[in-house]
Formats: sequence, C-alpha cells, structure tokens
Amino acid sequence: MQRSIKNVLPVVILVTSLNAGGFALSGVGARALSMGGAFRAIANDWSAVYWNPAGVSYLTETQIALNGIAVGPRSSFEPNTGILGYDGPYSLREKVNSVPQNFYIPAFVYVTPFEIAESRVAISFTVPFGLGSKWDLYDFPIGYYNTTDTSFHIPEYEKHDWQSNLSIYNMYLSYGKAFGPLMVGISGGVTLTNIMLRKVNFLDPATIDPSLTSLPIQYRLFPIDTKIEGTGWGLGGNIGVLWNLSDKLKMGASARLYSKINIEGTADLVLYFPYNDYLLSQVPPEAQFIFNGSTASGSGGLKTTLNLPMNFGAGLSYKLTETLLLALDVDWTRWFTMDRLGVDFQNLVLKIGGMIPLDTLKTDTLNFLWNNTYRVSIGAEYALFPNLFLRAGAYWDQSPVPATTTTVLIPDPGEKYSINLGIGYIMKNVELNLNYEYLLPVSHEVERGESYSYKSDYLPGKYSMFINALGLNVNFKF
Amino acid sequence: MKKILWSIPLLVLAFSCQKVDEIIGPDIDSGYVELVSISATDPNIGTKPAMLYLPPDYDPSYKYPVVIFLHGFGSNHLFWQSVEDIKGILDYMISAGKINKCIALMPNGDNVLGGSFYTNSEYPPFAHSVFGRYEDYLVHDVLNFLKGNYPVDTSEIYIIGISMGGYGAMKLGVKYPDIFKGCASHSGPIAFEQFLTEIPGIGVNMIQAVLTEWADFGYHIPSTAALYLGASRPLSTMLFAMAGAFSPKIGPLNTFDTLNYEIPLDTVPGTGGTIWAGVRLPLTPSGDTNSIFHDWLHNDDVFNLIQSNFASVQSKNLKIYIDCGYEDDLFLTPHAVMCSNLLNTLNYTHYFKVFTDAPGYPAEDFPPGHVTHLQLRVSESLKYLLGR
Repeated sequence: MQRSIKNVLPVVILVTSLNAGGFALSGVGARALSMGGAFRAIANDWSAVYWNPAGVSYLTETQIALNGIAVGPRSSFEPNTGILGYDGPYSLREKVNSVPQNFYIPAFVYVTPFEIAESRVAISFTVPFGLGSKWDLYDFPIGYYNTTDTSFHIPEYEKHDWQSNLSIYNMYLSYGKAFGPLMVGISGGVTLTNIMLRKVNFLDPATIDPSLTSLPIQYRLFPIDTKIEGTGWGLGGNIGVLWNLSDKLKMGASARLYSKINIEGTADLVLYFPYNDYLLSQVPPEAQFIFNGSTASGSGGLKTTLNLPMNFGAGLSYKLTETLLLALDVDWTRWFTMDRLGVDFQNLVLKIGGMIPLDTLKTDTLNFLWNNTYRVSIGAEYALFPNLFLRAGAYWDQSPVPATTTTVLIPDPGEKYSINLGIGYIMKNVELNLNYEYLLPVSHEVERGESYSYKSDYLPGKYSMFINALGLNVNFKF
Repeated sequence: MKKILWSIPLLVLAFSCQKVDEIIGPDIDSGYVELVSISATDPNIGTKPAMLYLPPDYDPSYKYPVVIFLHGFGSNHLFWQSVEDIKGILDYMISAGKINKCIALMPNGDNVLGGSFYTNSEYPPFAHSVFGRYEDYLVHDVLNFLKGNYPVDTSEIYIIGISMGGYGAMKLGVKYPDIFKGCASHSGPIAFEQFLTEIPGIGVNMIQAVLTEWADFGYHIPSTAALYLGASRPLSTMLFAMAGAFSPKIGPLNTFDTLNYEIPLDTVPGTGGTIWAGVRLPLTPSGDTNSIFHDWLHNDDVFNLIQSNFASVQSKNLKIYIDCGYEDDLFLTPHAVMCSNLLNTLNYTHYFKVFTDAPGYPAEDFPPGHVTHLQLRVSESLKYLLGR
C-alpha cells in the first residue's frame, strides 16, 4: 500500500485552485479614495504616484505624506458542497463567518521638486494589492475518528483551515514633467510580494487502491491541511499623461505594469488518517496505517512565478464652479494574466510519523482562470471654505473570479458598489484628509454544477461580503 | 475638526472589537452508547450482545421512540456503531432538530452461518430450532428487554437495516405492522423472484452465479465450525446462510438427500453425534430451482409478504423506506425497484430511491454500491421515519 501511494499525491495536493479572488485594493490616498478613485484626471496630490505619475508635475513643494487605511472586510459563506465534513447531511455549518480581521494599509510618499527643467521627483511606498481571510470551514466527518474508543486521542488540527494572506508592496521612484498643458510622468521600482494560502485538500484512498471504493463514505476522503507561503521580488512601474484641455477640463490616462514576480517559499502538508479500531482489525498489517489515526506530514520548498495584472485607465475632471470639482474614471485590469500558476516543489516528502516516506511532491498547477475587469468611478470635491473640502464618490467594480474557481480564500463575491465620503482640511503647511468607504453588501450564489466533486476548483455556496474602510492622510509641506 | 480626528481611532477600535460568531449551526449534545446483553428464549441463540444508544439528557420518566438497527450478513451488533458511528449520527439528527429524541438498539443477528436473516430457522416436521429463531428473538426477546428496562413509547418502534438487515427490517415491519410503525431497507434482498432474473451484463441469474462460484470453489461444503465460506465466496456463502434461515433441516445423517442438495453441516450438540443440522438448498441436480425456492417465495419473500399482509400494512399506515445503490455489488437494485413498483401499484405512499451519486461524490469515483453511501442514506431514512 505504501509503495502504491507514490505518484498519487501530486495530483491531489494543490489541484484545486489558489482560489484568491480579485485582490486589488480600492486605491491609494484618502483624498482620491473619497472621490471613489476617480483621480486619474486630477492627480494633483502625492497619490499621483499611484493614480497617474504625470500629476507629480503638480507637486511644487517638498512634502512628506503619510497615509493609513483600516479596512474591515466582513464575509460569510453558506456552503453547498454536500461533502461530509463541510455541509454534508451532518453539517455543523449552516453559515460560516470569516474571522473578523482589520487590515491596516500604509502608504508613504516623499516629494521634492527637481530643479532641472521644472521636473518633480517622488519616492513612494504604497500597497496596491492585499487582504486575506480566515475561515473555519471543515470538520472531520461523523465516524472519522472512533469516539467510543477513549484510549485514542484525536490529533491536533488547525481550527482555521482555510486562510489567505496576500500583500504586495511597491517602492517606486516617480518622475513628472510638464510640457505646457501636457504633463507626463513615469514611476518605477521594486515590488515585494508576500503570499500565504492554507486550505483543505483531500486524498481519496481509492485512487491508491481501487478496492477501497467499498469503504464507507466517511472514509473516502482523507483531509490534507495544505499551507504554502512565499516571498518574491519583481519590478513594476506606472506611466501616465495629463492634459489640461481647458481651464476647467482635464483628461488623464495611466497604466500600471508589473514584471513577473519570482516567489520562493515553503509548503507544509499534514494528511490525517481516520481511526477505527474495528476496521483496523479487519485489514492486513501493511494497510493498518489507513485506520490507525496517524498523520503523515511533509515540508519542503517551493518556487513559482506570479504574473500581476496590468491596469489601464483614463478619466476626465471638470471644474464646474470655482468650488466644485467633478471627476470620472474608467479602468481596465488584465486579470487574464492570473490564469494558471505552475509550482515547483523542492524536497517535499510526505512521511508517516516523520519516518516512513509516502510520496515526493514535485510540481503542481494552481488554476485561477480569472477574467479581465472594468471599474467605473465617479467623484466630486466641494470647497466649503478655502481650507475645508467635502468629498464624495462611488465606484462599480467587476469581479475577475469566475464561478469555476470561486472559493472563500479572498472575499470577492461579485460585482461591487462602493460609496465613499471624505473631508479635507488645510492648516498652514499641514494637510489632513479623511475618507470613509462602504462597500455595499453583495451576495453571490455559486451553483453546484452536476460535475462538481471534491476535486473541483470551487466551493459552491452563497458568498456574501461588505467592507468598511477608514483612511487618514497627513501631509506635511516644507 | 479635532472631534472628527479623535473619532477616527474610536471607529477603528469599534471595528476591531466587533464580535462575530464564526459558525452558525446546531450545537451537538452527546448521547450515550453501551454494550448490553439480551437473552433469547431459544437456547440455540442463548444470550447475545447488543449495542444500546440513549439520547442526550436521557430521562427515564419520558417515553422514547425506539429504532432498531439491523446489521448485514457477515457482520454483528458492532457494525452500526463501530463502522457508521450511529451515535454520532443520532446525536446530530436529534441536536439539529431533524428527529425526536429516541433510544436505539443494535442487536446481534449473527449465527454460525454468518447471518440469521432475522428469520426463525425451523425444520417444520419437528418444529425444531435449527440455527436459531431470530424473528422471535427480535419481536419478543429484544423488544421485551427494551420495554422492561427502558422507557419505550410502544407506539413508535421503527426498524432499519442494511443488506441482510434491510431484508430483516422490511420483513418484520411488513409482517408486524402492529408492532413497528415504520421500516427501512437499505440495499436489502427483498424480492426473491429477482434471483431468477438474468443479471444485466453477466448473462446468468443470481442462482446460476451462485452455482458457478460454488463450482469454482470445488463445491466445498462448509461446516458450522468453519462458520462460513468466507468473503471471497460471498454468493455461495450467503446461499448457505439463506438456506439455513429459510430451509434448514435437522435429523439423522442418513435422512439428508445429498444428491438433491440436502446438506448436513454439523452435529447438534447433546445428541451424541446422531443428529445433524443442515440446509436444503433450493436447487435441483441440474441447477434449476426446486420447490424449496417456492417455499422461500411463499414464506419468506418480502415482495410476497407485502401482498399477503397488505391489508394490515395499510390499516396501520406502516411507513416504508426502500433504497439501493444503482451499482449494487450484489445485484440487489432490481429487488428495491420491484418492491417499490408493487407499492406504487397498490397506491401506497412510501420513500424510494436508487442512489446514483451524491453531491460532491461523482459516481465514476464513488460507485453507488451496496453500502457506499450508507451514512448519507441513513440520514434520509431516519428523517423519513422519525422526522419532525
């Protein structure tokens, strides 16, 4: 039995997808976010480094901007897999709420006028992608461990068996220059990616020995706690243009681009065998490990390459009156690059009790199959007083994640509508901006297809989410 | 402005302190399982072990429904708890409010031939118990044990079984609708006529398949000491057990017509080796079925029993649940279909399902065989019989 298990695990460990949803954050900068991210054709503060580097040309003073956003996503999931341990006929979970987590997302920008040719330069640290989630989705099914045998102790099992944590940091140098009414800008630098994913995969023992198809259904899927994490560096950059069509009307366009990010990290697996003293007595000694309640674990290295999506957008801004500024943005993200991810494992050997090698894992593929998306943003800024501004905005954003790869790991249940409010206040050389974002509750039902199985790349069920976010920006000008 | 600024950390703090229940679902209360012994009136059975389940917060002053779970051939009273964790299932169904609190009993229907088929094994001329009167054991000894020791609501006694136990549950339910309020057969052999129908894709019927298997085994005759022929010869093993239940024989060795498949198996204890217990197989020397098979059909077949006892079944409104896997390893799917068709013809409401697959468990990987999805199917039968 142990011999025949070889070459089986590579197709079961990660065959279900990475399952991250669209993980782009709303944007950077309290002022821009207050206006729903309709900022490409405004881009006249430090956040231009993100929205449109051509706007760096506006920044005539040396300044330091600090920005922090607290994002509180709240997600829930009503599983409809039918699989024992999730929501089979003895489910403990009619609904699961993700562990409430708040993410604190920083940004830092230093801008200095560059005296030569009236250019401007900014150094920035921003977080364009992020978030994560933690879920307690799976239980060992009834009968998986024989509960009447008090001599047996159930092995420790991770409570939050579905987890994700993903953050991508940009450290860029931006350059902007004006050519009359036309401004151009470019940013470039390094990108740091941290990624952690944890989920439950299954091993069907009948894929090892076909005679095991006759096992009771509760022993037909052995859970594997699978955790991968890694870090990688890459290059990234923005380019943009801003055109003052008139005193009131401006047009802006920009693109964000990333190189491939090579990620290195580790993979950890723990396979949990059931315990049943009755069946243990029925099987030959060489197969007894199947029912003795032991675990098989393995750790090893991994290498993969992540393709972050290109984003392109254009916008208009219009100064309706001396005190009211309106803006509109449309952008497009090429999530299609998140198609499939090949993973190479190094020295990942699954062993029983750390001793007997069961299998060696070499490669696997994670399926994303994401779609390209559009986002439309509108925003307004009203100067109540010369130093006090009220802002409002909204955006509509598509989800890149198709039903065929939707899971809980990063909440993105479907088309999203976001409402944003903000206020800005200028005190001499200090500027304060606040923003509040409310992503309207959105629900999405992923149907269980006829061909759905434990091997599928998605978890059918009803996904729901809403988000509150608060941001504060302090901007010191010298 | 300062107030607004101060409000930000407070709002963030409010986010952080939000408490959310991670899991919304039933809290599971635990019942209790214990091993008990139940003596039979028939000394051929003696005292047999059984597993007993008492529900969460068991209260002796309350009258509980009872469910009797019958195991399959080659198994014993431990099956339902040790393999299927019936305590876990009942705890869940009760705690989730899907069924009312109940007592469950898992008796032992095993005998020297591997299974009693929950039938009185009697040789009519002498009314001797040959391999045990298991029908009597269940409807008298077991039920009296329960009534005498536990608070039983005698108007709510249900019986559920798998395979041989499915046969026993249906047979006893249909035969005694005044005792049982409902019965459930999971993959039971409940229409013997199907033993004579050609098995699709095999080219022979079940009786012929048994003979082929037995011939492959050199027509080996088991002794009761050897228990039964073994799992590698399941069909011929079961044939001997069925014959032991439905057409046994007891008498001096020279009274066994071995040429006509009257086969002595072992001496009867206490007779000095002069009296033998054996079986009368329902076969002629040419391999056809004989009058013994017709006796099986007449006396022990559930399909016929439904027809002969239908008036009682109907008057007592017996709840009947029948299921079977689409690819039953023992070719019992047509049995379930035939009985369900009969009940439909009789316009009798019942639950019937041929399992093809289950959500998340596609048939190509999880063939719907004899016991494959039993844990899923039991939740259905419990809901149908005892559901709130």
